[in-house]
Order: sequence, then structure tokens, then C-alpha cells
Amino acid sequence: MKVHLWGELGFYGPAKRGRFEFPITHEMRVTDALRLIGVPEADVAVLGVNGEVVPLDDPTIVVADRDRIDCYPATSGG
Amino acid sequence: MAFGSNGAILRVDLSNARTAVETFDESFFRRYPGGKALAAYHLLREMPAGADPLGPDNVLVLAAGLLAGAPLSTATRFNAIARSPLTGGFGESEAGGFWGPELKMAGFDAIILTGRSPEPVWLWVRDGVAEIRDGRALWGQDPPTVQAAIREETGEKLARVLQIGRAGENLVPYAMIMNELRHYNGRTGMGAVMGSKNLRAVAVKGSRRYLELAHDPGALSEIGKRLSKTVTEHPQSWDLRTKGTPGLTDGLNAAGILPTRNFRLGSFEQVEGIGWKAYEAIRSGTRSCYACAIRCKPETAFEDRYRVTDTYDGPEYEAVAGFGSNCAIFDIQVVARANELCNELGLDVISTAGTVAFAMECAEHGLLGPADLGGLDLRFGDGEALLEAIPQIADRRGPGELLALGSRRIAERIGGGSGSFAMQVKGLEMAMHEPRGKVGVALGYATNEAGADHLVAFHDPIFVNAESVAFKGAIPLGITEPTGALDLGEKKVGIWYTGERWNSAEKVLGLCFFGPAPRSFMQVDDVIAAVRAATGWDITVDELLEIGERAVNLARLFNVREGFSRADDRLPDRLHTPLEGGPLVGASIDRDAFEGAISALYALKGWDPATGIPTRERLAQLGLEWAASESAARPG
Repeated sequence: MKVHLWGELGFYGPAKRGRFEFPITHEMRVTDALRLIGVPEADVAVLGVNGEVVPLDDPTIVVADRDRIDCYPATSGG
Repeated sequence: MAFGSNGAILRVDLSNARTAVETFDESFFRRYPGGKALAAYHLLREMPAGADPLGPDNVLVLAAGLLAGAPLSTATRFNAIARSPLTGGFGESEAGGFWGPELKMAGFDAIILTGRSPEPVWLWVRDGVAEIRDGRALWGQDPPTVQAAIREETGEKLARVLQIGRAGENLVPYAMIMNELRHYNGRTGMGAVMGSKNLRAVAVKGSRRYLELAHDPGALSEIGKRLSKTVTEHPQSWDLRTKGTPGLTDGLNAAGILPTRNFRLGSFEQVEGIGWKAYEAIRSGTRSCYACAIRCKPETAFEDRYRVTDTYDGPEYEAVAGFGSNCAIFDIQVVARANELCNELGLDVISTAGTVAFAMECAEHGLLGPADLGGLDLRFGDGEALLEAIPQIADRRGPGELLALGSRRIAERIGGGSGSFAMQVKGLEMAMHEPRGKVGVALGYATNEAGADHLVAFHDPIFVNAESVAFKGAIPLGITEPTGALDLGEKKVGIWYTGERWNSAEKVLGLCFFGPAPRSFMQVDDVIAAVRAATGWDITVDELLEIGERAVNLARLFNVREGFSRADDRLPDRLHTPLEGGPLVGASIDRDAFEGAISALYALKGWDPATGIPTRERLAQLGLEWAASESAARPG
């Protein structure tokens, strides 16, 4: 699975990389995938699956190894 | 002398070429300990009511924050405060860099500039001694030349030079002040005020060290060392260190809150052209402010379709969104060049971009065209026209004569309903944050005395999830319950009120928005500990919030005296209409709910709900009885 942790969420990626491959062997709920990766769900403000924004609390959304997920933080101020 | 300060203010009467030093005691300092509070106090007391913002009676105060210069990441800020030539109200802009810390080391907490010099001058401040020097040879020169000339004349290679550019000399109402070429007091036209005084630069150099001023230098030093390590261990400061503010663009676009096409849309179809990947290709390095381990200041340099050097800062996020998505220009090279031009010429990036986006929308509606703009055809997406416009704004020539007025005044001049395209509050163009996706930002835009500034309070997404890192950082401020980003109820208003006081306290302490929690790594207890070590005061969160609130009330009283009222605390009408595109398409700010939120906010602040004027009771609680009478503010 392709993962892109944007902004401060990159802090939780392997070696603090925001963009990486994360192999998964079976389909799973996207929130479970986030837990496996180690991204704190509470800090994800926007979640994208294959380029589409999806609700964070929708248990029906599942991802497989072929998918791409994008996690955006609650960015604030500039 | 109070610990944490020099106990001294430099007064400079430019009309009579006189300088004087004024001292203050600890009881005064504890109420107005620096930055916004100290500067607002003097502006309110000393500027005659109704003074022309560009006349000799305006008072420009440059005040370092209490902690500015401490060996503490993000403790670098100082405020430039005067009556704004753009808004007519309280003008305020803060900057980091090296100048504020150096002012403290040179023996002063603030400089008060009054009058107007008959000829261009610059001010040299060295270890408690000030001289007004001939600046005629500097007038009209570009900023690097001025900085180099001052350093050569003084023999101080590390003299910290604060200066205006051509826009300030030409009194453009949104001209900025820069220091070290890379750090900007961008907002509300403080550069024009400095230009109106014929003052090109203020250079400072000091031999003191902040720790010499501190009550407990050992403790302060230890806090600084500990926190500098924390910077890389906290996700928010780590991200700022890794990417700086340009790293925000993609996330805001995904969330539907990236201002696009003059705030009509919330996301930009061609965001890749200005997003992080494009930015990374032109980034040449990063720099730091004084003693700050975050090191978030981005540099860009390239020679391709345009030539951009790393002489100045950025572009920061505000320029990327302002010139990029909000002008529908999907070319990071154009954005970088526009940013460089603004910095070189001394223009505020946000107001320049906001005014140009406004003019582009007017052009779409046939309200402004080449015939009005000396042949210039400003259209969304036209980067060449943007680059052509900027120098003309700074010089107030050709189309620049009109564009230099800012969006509100242009709308007043051309009419035809163009006011609905002017995305400004009190005349100050909105920063690049879409309030329809974070409505607390709208409260800040509407009620802030200086206008539509994004650093007034917390941004709503921080408070959506009680388990988030940022939310946990806000708990010591008394914020315990989460609330939605689009909520405008009592809970949100309460959080916002706390946020405004805390952020105002940061502006008094001289801490950058990117330092303290909940935005970043420095926890509330760290801030308290640092202030205690610097001053020896047994200060609490409540006292810091009160200090912040006192500064806000001084600004409000200034505006009341200058004729502002609740009617000025309003948003551009567009924000009450649905976003036309992006993930939040259809989102708008309900007008009645928003008015209700303002009333609730006034009640929390102790302000009259009908007028927005602070009540005598609240002023008394804040120790501001004097301001009620001296400001003739007609408090309710």
C-alpha cells in the first residue's frame, strides 16, 4: 500500500519519512491500517483513499495493498 | 530595573532631531511587559486622537517582547505599532529575526518614534546611545545596499538593520518593514508610517546578553537547552523544521480551505504547480531566527524562466496561496518572483496579493480593465501581469497609483458593486486562511482591531479531537472539551476567547506563533517557567492571559477613540455565501449565528454588546481605568 503522511504526520512515518510503501497482506478497515502504520488517528484531519476524501469514522471503508492513502493533519496558521 | 527588561525606552523626536531615554519601574513592567502591551500603551497615551496616520503626530512604537533575546527557541519577536494608514485604526505587525533580540541587548525595551524629519535619516542605536544620522544617500536604494552601507559606516558587521523599501518611501498604505532582509513586519502599513517620518532605517547593536537581564539565568538557560532538543521530538515543530510554512499548502487544499480565485473556491485544481513537490524543486535552504532551533525560514533560488536569489525570505505559505491559488497562478516560479519583488520593494505580501486578486475579479466583471490600469490587463492566472503590477504598486505609478490604495479603497473609488469582491476587514486584506472551513478564524478576522489577521487566535481544527497532540497542549489553558471546526456555539466562543488572550500574551512575551502550545512544541508550563526564570515573578497562566487581554483592550480603546464600533467587526459578505468549489463546497458562515457569536464573545470580554466598547468594570479589572479617561473612549 502506498502511504503519504502529509505535514506533521510525517513525523510518524518510518525514519520520519512522509511517503513510503507499507505492505499489507489482506484487506482491512482504513482506520486499522492507520493503527498498524502508527499514525495517531486523532491527529488525522483529512483522510484520502486513492485520491478521494473519505470520512474518518466510516467503518465500511477498507483498503488493500493496491491502494494509496493520504493523511493530512489539522494544519493551523502560516 | 525589573528583571527581564532594561527598564528603558528610547524616545526619538524626528522633527527636532532629539533623543531621550525614559525609564520605567517594575510595577509598570508587570502590566505592560513588552511587545504589543508596551507599544499599545504608548500609542494610546501619546498619539493625539484623529492624527493623520502619515503625519508627524502618528507615533510609531517598536517594542521587543519580554523574552526576546532569551536563549529560547522562538523568543525573537517584536511589534511595530502605530495608527494604520491602510485601516485608519490600530496598526500592528510583528516580526522575528534578530532585530528585537538585538534591541534588548543594546539596552532598550522599545523605541518610540515621533514627529517627522525634514530630510531622510536613519537611526543608530549602540549600547544605550542613539544617534540620528543623515540618510539622504540611502533613500531610494535597494535594501541590501542600505544594509551594507550602514554596516560599513558603523564598522559593525553584525549591526541589525531594520528598514523600509521603496514602497515605504512612497507611502504605499500596505508597505512593510523588514529586518536582516528576511524578516517582515508585513501587515497594516507600518512601513508607510516609517517612510512618512523620513526614517529609512533603524540599526541596533548591543553588547549585553539576555541572561544578564534574567532573574535566574541558569534556569532560563536550562529551559532553552531542553526545549531546543524538544523541537525535533514534537510533530508540529518537526514539520516546521522540515518544510516550513510552504508545507501547509497541500493539506489545506485537501481540506478544502486553500483560498482560491479570490476566496471563491476552497481548493485549487492545479495545486501541484504550487504544492510541496513544486516548492521543493526551488528550495535552496532554510534559515533561522535568533537562537531558534526550528529553523523554519525557507530560502529559494533558481535561474530558469525567472531568476530568483536567496537574498530575501520565502516564499512562505501566505505568498504561495496569495499569489498562487488565490490569483489562480499555478506556477511556483512566478510565485517566488512575486514574493521576491514584494520583499525587495518593501510591500506586504498578503495585502499585495489580496489587492491583485480583487482587481482580477473586478476585471472579470468588467469593473477594472486596461483602460483603468494604464494598459495592464490583470486576469486570473496571468503571472506576467502580476509581476508587471508589483513594482508599479511600490512606485505608485501607472496602474500602481490605484492598486496601491488596497482593495477597500479601490472598491470605494470604482463602485459598481466591487466592494463585494474586496476580501478585507477594516481595510486589511484577509490572510490566506479560508474561514468557511474554520469559523473561529472568521471571529478573529472580524473582531481583531488591526483587521483580518490569522494569528489572532487558535485555528479551529486543533480542537476537533480531544486525543490530538495539539488539543492536549491546550488543556492547561482550561480548554477541556472538543468542538467542531464549523461550530459557532458557546463552546467555540469560549475557546476562541482563551486563544485570543493566549496569542496576545505571546505577542507581549515575544514568542512566535510557532513556539507555544497548542500550535507547537513549547508547552504552557514551559512558557510559565521561562517567564518566571526571566523575571522572578510568581506568574500563573491566569496572569498571562490577563496580560494578553489588557493588550487587546488597549487596541480596542484606540479603535473606539478613532471612531470604530461593532459595525466594523464584520466579515466580507462573500463569507456568508457558499463556497463555490472544493471538498467544502456549499459551506458558508450563517450570518445570524455569527452575530450571535460576536455578542457572546463581547459578553465574555466584558464589552458592551451593542457597541463593542469595553465596560468600565472590565477596564477596572484590567487596571485600565486611566485608559477610559485618557483615551476619551466613551466606555460603556
